[in-house]
Amino acid sequence: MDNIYIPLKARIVSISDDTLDVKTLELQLVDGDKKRPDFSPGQFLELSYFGVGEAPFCISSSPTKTNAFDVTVRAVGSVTRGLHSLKQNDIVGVRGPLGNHFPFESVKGRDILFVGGGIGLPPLRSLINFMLDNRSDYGEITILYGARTPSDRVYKAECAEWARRDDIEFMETVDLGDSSWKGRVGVVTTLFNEIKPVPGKTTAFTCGPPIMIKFVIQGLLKMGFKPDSIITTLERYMKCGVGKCGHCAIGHKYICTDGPVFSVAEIERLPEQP
Amino acid sequence: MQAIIQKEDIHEIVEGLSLDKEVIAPVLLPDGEALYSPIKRSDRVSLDSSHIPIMSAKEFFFGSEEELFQFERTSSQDIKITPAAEPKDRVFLGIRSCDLKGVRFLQNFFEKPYNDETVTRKIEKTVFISLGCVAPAEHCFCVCCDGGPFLVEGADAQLVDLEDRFFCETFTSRGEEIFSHHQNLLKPAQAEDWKKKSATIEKVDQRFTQRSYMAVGVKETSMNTVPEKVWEVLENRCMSCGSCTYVCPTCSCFNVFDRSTPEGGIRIRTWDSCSYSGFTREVSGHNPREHTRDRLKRRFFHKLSYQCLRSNGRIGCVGCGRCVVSCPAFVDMSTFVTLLRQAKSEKTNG
Amino acid sequence: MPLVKINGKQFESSWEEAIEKASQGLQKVVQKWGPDSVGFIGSTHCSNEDNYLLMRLARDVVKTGNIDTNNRLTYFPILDAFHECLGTGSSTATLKQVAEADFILVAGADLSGTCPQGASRILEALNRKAELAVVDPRATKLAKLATYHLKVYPSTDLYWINGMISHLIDEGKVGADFIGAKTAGYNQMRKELAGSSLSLAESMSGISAELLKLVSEHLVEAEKAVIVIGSGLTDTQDIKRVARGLINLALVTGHVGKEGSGILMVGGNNNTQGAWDMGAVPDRLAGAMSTNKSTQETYGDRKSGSLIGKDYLGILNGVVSGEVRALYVMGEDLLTFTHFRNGLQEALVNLELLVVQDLFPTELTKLASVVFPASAPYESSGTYANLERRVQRFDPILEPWRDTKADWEILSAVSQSMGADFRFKNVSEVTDDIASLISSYRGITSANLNKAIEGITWPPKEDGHPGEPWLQDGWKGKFSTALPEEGDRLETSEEYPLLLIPGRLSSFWDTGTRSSRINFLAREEIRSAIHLNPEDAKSSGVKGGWRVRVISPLGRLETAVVITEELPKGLAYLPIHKIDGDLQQLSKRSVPVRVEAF
Repeated sequence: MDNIYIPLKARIVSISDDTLDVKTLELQLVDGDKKRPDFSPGQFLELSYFGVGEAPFCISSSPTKTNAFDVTVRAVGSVTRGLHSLKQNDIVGVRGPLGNHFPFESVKGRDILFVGGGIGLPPLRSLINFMLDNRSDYGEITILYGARTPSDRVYKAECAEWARRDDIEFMETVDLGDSSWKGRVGVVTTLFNEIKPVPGKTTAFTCGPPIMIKFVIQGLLKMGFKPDSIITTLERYMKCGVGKCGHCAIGHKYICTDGPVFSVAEIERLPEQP
Repeated sequence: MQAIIQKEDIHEIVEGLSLDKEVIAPVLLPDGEALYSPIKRSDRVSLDSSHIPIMSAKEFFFGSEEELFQFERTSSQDIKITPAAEPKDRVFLGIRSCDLKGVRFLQNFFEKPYNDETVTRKIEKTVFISLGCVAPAEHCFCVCCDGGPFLVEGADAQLVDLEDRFFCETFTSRGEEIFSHHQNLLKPAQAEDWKKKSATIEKVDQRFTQRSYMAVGVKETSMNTVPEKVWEVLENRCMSCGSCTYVCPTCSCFNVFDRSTPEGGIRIRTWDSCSYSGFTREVSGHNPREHTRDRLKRRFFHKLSYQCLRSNGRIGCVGCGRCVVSCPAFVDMSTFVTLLRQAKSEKTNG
Repeated sequence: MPLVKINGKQFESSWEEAIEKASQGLQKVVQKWGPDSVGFIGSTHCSNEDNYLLMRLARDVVKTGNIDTNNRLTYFPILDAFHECLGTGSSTATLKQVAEADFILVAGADLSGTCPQGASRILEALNRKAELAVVDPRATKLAKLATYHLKVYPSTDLYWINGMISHLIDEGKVGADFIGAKTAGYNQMRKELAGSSLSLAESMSGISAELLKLVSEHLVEAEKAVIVIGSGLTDTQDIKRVARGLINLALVTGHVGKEGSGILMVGGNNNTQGAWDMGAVPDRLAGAMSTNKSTQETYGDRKSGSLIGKDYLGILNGVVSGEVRALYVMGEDLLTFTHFRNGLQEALVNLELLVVQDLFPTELTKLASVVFPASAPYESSGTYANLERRVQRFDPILEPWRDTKADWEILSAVSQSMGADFRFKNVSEVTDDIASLISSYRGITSANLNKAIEGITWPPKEDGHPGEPWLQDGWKGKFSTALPEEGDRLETSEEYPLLLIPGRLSSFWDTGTRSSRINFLAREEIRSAIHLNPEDAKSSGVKGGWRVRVISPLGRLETAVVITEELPKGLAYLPIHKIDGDLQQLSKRSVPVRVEAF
């Protein structure tokens, strides 16, 4: 009997502290030849902290990284706090990849605008690094990132690298600065004043807290973006990840199998607003 | 095969089946109610269709609490996973049409887009001998949902009560196989047996007291034109107890969590209910269905409209009437459709 | 494992040692300071058998009347009022009568959350076109479905009750035959109500005179009516007086002691009724026999105490003052009751003996001289009596948690160790002992309970016959004094402009210290929130979802805000479960508060 709930084993290769409550775990599959599952940017995994249960996490590394895969975990509940207590070489369970993925194929040749907020950067990072590793397939790439405070920014080192590159535009801002912060202050939508995208040939990808997404989408629509060119990820409480347990269902769609990636056009057609 | 079996011979058939398979059948409880149960002694089986078993058949395929796998900490940094055991061959004797329809509905749901074999395998390994209902219970309305009472689709064989004998018909090779071992108890059906069967079926249809006209429910929910008035009444009655979801043959929401033991633990799946306000509560505390009204809308829209899109047009209600019996607050499927029809007719009559 | 305290530290001990320490400790205290220096606290969560043996330990062995439960502050006074005025320490109506009533009056109960069985029967009655009047400041679910919603200002219930009664008397609409044949004290009550009127009721309670008139007349004209009384009343005022008022209303409208009508108390704990029946009370012997000598004789040769002892607050006061030197507590963490914060914790530490039986370690068990770990319901067997006097047995479905014993077993062992002649081999023998001692439980034996799947309602008609609606030949109801007093009406001020009413949700019990341990229930409501009317939110300068401070003259706490149209201006509502901060100041009673943004 093929049991879809059985996880594969993965070992923690390294752990990096991103913020006070966010860690990135670098993992490798234990059994078989492959070090990581075959996935596309935007897909997620169900991670097991054995003894408590599972929780869903997007894969925050690009598939172009073949020797390991990353998940970025914020400690908010019993599973995530359990994951934070683990050490290098500890075992977790992994089920996936699950869900749909960002439309990286159909946006080839277009300009790309990324707008990330706080803990919304992890899913985007998978796509950003994928595109950077396939740079010539895409037009202008702009990354806007906003966090509440300087210490709430994730992937600080990576952001600095993106800022240094001259084949992409990277801008970040914080809602509230501190004494050492020299950068921009203001919500991420304030960065819209500094860019001039061509809506007709640009696709926007945005992830972050619901309230931020709301204003980002408003801002993008105002700039002339069409609803089917704004791509985001929806969140609901998820359990099984395979479209059966019912927790993430909206209308006849399940966020875990029909999503989590949706265009704004698709979201507008849903019977319940997220 | 179409044959006649004498009522007193059924127990011999059950005993024969029990030799190499688990047999599930309705059993009469001390207080007079019936319940589907694994059979130990054949004389506890009750094929009197006037008592609808109080719980649906889903427990045997999608258990209320089920182990998905076991895990053992073999060292400080390794773990061994043992999946749940392979299900056994079973015979489900006396399943009602509505409950069988529910099982096939769940089979379709659990098969796609990922085949959940912890459920579907159990269904595949079960032979279904359904019992046509000649005495519908007070709250049954399967006739309004294409759910019975003499449904053939999905059954391997069917028994119809002709008062002193059963009319037995097989539809699949598995059904044939079950009865092939008891040729001595079967007599070929004659013309008068056919006549009696037709007459019985016709008489039964007239005995249904509930006519809910589900088509109205399906139409209004699919077009999203249910008057707000209906929700206002229902949300003030509903106490979010979850009984409807527990007894419903097509409800399939669940929760998964681990239960630790010193050696490791087990991962368990249990039934869950979208009626509970905590069902959609996110870790942040935000709850998109905080209000009872939103959960009621979800329930009825899901049963009558959203499900159809994924189930080849089958609606999520089989008309078994159990929600009518178990709901303490008059928020069941029949009441919903009745209120809907009243509200719509008030609208058109001004 | 049981724990005993030696030289200020707790050590694990054997059951024998712990039982001996408890019984010797009690004997020493009784010898030195007399039986009244010992106090017993029972529990309305524990079974009849548990409370019965606690009562026997208190009255037979130690010979004191100092026994009570914390329901003294909530439901026991209502049962006392029923006993004094109706002759039965219980509700007279059953759930079936609610479903079949033509008129239902609900005062101070949000049944959809706190008594779903009762709510279900009311919905049944509504389906039969019964009329429903809900007296509640909030627009509860049932209030929204009701025929009449009387939006009362909390703490003013005696005004509207007496307003209704005086209106019916003035209009000559009372049932004179019923009053004459079945009641006493009518004329006295009538005199006392001289100052009551519909207009006074309107100005004090906020319910219009017109509506009060209509509801009172429909109530008296109804063929079958049930009056439901709940904890919304206990939270706001002297509950015994209000209960008497509702009893007067029931008597004057002829709706008690009559076929199909009655009065029903909802909201109690699972065994509030049973604990009262078993005599876990200071002023009555079990079975509600009064504490006089001739009753003692009808007890037979059992040597029972006949003392009227200290009640719940009296016992705790006694601990603080030093009068009570030994305390035996079953199933309660006294330290969560901080109305009594002053000095209780230190006083408990200084007791000569503190014995605690409980399911989990608590703040109280940490202070105890002897701790007995008790097994939980369904790990053992016993009976409960529910709101309609139905005695039901629960059978074990789990093995008892390692090294725990049932409460009744512990009590029996301690009593035996003190010389009592208790020889209960199993819980059924205790059940049968109850049936032989308490007259209303005659026939509720374990053999009869085996045969009665749905329990037995007391008093059974014949030996073991499942009971009938309560009606007795020759019964008379008593009218009593139930007048509002100066200071009843809880007032707000400029500094504290909102009146806070506490509430209860369906997912949790009390403060949720036990029920919130269960993940499945905890996800239902993980945060507390104070509910405010939109206008009040505006004038307090807060918005929905904000974190706020709630400040009262007695204390303060922090919580979140929910805006709702279901509350009238001037009132705030706070479920008592899982609140941050000093909740007890605000939890069990209404109190004026102000709300501030953080």
